[in-house]
Amino acid sequence: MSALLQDVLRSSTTSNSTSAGADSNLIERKLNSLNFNSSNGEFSNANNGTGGDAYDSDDELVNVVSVPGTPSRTRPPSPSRGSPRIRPIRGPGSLTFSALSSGLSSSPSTTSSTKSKPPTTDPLKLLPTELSQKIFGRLSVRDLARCALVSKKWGRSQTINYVWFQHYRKENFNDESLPPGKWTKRESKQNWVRMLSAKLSPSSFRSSMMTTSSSALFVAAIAGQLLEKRLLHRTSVVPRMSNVFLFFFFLSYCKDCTFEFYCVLYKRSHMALNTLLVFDKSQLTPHSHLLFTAHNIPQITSSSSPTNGTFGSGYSTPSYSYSSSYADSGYATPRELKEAQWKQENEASASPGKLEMRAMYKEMGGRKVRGKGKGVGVGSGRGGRDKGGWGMVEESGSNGGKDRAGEGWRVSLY
Amino acid sequence: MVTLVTSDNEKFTADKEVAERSVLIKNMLEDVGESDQPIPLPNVSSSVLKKVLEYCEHHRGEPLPAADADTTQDDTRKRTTDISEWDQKFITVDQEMLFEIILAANYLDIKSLLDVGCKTVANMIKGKTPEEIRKLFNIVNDFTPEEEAQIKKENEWAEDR
Repeated sequence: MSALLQDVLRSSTTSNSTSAGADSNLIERKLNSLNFNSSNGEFSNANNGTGGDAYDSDDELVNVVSVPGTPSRTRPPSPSRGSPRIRPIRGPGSLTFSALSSGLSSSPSTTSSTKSKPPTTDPLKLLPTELSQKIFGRLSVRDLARCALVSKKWGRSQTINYVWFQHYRKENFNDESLPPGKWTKRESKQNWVRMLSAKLSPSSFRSSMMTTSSSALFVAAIAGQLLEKRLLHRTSVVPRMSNVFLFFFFLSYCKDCTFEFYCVLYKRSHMALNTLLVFDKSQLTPHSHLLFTAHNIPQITSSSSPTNGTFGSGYSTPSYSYSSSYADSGYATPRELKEAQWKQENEASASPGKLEMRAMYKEMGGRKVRGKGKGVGVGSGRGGRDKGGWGMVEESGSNGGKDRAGEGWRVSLY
Repeated sequence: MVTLVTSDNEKFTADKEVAERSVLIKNMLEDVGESDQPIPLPNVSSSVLKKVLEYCEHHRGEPLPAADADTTQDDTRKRTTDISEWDQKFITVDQEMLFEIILAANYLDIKSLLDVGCKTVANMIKGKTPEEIRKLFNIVNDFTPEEEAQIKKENEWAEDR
């Protein structure tokens, strides 16, 4: 669409400059009508087309890949992270401008050249992916973690994610001589920083996931607080939140929309009623996000913990007994319970356990397992998978869906 | 002697032995056979080729790394971040040139030079704070303070590693 529009515009301008008189008059009218049209909404379309080109994170995603022997030059389907955020910045206003002036001759190149006015020597921008990989591959975990803070581009760079993936593999298999491993669409969607952090320091991973409110219970607690402060309004009630995954799917759907909705699950334990709450970000005070990291949560969560078992049909908390280790902290989310379980299992068996072996098998190329991995309640979780950016790896069959759902949370709230 | 022609149409002559440190040129010469035809290098400018030839000249006679050394040795080589004194002096150039050299080394397939370049960039990043890295590469911080705080929190675990 945008190409077509530009084509017409271009051809009309060139003829505009060469011909004269009535001819150009007509063209001008045509041009005007076109512009008028586009300001009426066609623009969002055109914007997507050219805006994507100018924004550099996309082409990096395209280039990701790469081990010899992997079939793929893949890119994740829609770079849903990011693109909604960009739109407001490069609004219709700027495009109208470029379409009218520079856009008439050649739009994407001119916009990007004006954009990169300060001469950046960003290696991710200047060097091809393979070379960036070499560079970042030499960095320690600590340095890599700092790189994530440099800019958004660095933070979600697939090149750096790939390096994390290599670190993860090294850590997982304790073997330096392994080939680099398959890097396909599936791998590129996972956030390997988190995978590694979960592996290397489960406790800090747990706490960091708490602050990013991955667990529904945790968020529910916050929602309860917010409700009390009248920050929220209830938009819909789901009588029995039997399907957590549907909810996550909804979340990622929200994420894809341009308006930013924060969705919060509030679970009122005493009534065993789950309420879906939606509140607008703008209603929050600048500091209200601190609520996500802060206080008072134990009180609420602990009151809802007795109904833990009914929380979603997806799982029946077989690992509930592990919560004792977290008794002091007053809360234990399903994720933590699982992690505690894994940890204990790992400690119990020095040799790679069943989960480990399964992960290893998958890592080595057994992609078939995917279908088999459907544990209880995972089915509906799949819906949300492609929408949420990096999902969590399917570490072990039945946990996969839940993990990913939890991850969807984080991404959506991001 | 081999004649090389850069993107800006400058001609360089170099010993065959020196030029052949570039696997690309080596293969080209093998394909072409004995001939005085100049070799066009459309991806390399004269200023960069001058540097590259300086490097090749200095390292002439050293054994070339095996072509398949890539996967097996890469990991161990990654560990060593030391660069020889001469190389270090050689690579002390402005960033633009540094990246040009890396790109040229990649194109010309001169593995040791590529390694030196990548090591240098990695060393530049090492031990720096995000802000220092931004300054280093002239990158704009487009995070909101909230986002930054969150990522910082998430990656805290890595700080003591």
